[in-house]
Amino acid sequence: MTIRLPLRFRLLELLCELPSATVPELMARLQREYGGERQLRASVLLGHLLSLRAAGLLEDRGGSLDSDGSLLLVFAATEAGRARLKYLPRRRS
Amino acid sequence: MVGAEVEQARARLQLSYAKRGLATALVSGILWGLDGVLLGLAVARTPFISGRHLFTGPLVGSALHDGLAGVYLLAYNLATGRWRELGRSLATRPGQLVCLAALFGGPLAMSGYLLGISFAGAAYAMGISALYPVVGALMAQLVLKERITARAWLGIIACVAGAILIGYVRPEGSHPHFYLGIGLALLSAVGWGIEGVISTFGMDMVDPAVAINLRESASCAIFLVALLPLVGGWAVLARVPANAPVVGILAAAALVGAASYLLWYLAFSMCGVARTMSLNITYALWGLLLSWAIGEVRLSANLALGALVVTVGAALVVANPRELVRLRGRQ
Repeated sequence: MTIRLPLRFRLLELLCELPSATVPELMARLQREYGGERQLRASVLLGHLLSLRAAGLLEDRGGSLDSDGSLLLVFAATEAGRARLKYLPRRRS
Repeated sequence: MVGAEVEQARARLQLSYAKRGLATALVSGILWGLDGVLLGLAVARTPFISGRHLFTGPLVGSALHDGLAGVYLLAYNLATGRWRELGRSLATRPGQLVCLAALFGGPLAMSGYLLGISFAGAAYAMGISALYPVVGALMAQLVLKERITARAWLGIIACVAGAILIGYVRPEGSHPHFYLGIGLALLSAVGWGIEGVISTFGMDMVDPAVAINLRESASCAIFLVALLPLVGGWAVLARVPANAPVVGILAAAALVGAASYLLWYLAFSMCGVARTMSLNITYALWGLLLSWAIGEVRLSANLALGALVVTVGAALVVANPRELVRLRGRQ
């Protein structure tokens, strides 16, 4: 029996593993773990990321405009965000 | 040129997120006012008025309200593909912290509030309970390092003062356990303050929609197992299903309550504990307006003054959403 992390926590963990990432990059990486779930949508991920950014656990390092003119922010973990990894469960998939 | 466009789009996104957070907190307060009016209509009827103690009915009403709200929130989480998050969250410390927050905000604060009114009278107990945004803001500043400007503090205090004015009733009767009642009312303010801070910390790692589902379910379970047996609540609870109109009102109140709670927890993680709580307490104003609309109260000078003070307080709290781009850390 394997237990996954809550999506928001997994996002934070993933951004602690990567130097930085955008929403589409995070979506692609999370597809294997949460792919069958309706919650894995760009709007939901962006909501989590903005909340984590407002709390100071992530920062955005600028971004770019995609072909539609939509903003594509680049997110990275802060020291405060990395410190939260101590709440990771000891045994999980 | 592109860099400037990106910077403008980034600033717009940050500002719109902060504004959405404030609007979410305000709508949560409006719905909480409606929820209070509906719940008040339900617990003023049989079987809630036939309990062993004055507060048996309201405690049973709170347990049912939280339980039904938990069911609605489960339906929401099923519909939005979040149901697996419930077990995942419970398996982590942040999710368990949300359940601990439920203990403080649900049974502990609600019992303190009801017992405080019973022992010290509504005039003092309700006023002291309404201090919860101040307690929450102080704790958020201390524990979460939330940034609160002097203007926001003034707004928080005005919201609380206005809510106290609106809820004020002339003291009457004798209260042999007055100071115990005051202590219990203070416990409710501390309970709700602690709930906000612990749950916001937990929601840094857990989805707010899932957190509030856990909170409502845990709160109902604690009410049913630990509190209702102490006040003869199960006997009252068993008689509720036989009263269809009461069930209908309770179901409507819980639906509005579920929406209000969901928005409340979302707002905690969007615009912080202090601002969310001060906008939530505007429910006193909305509850007053709704009660007035259905003919339950007549407007008086202190109600009008209270409404004005709450409005000024809320305006001060939301005045500069740019402050919310970074909620925590050094000013």
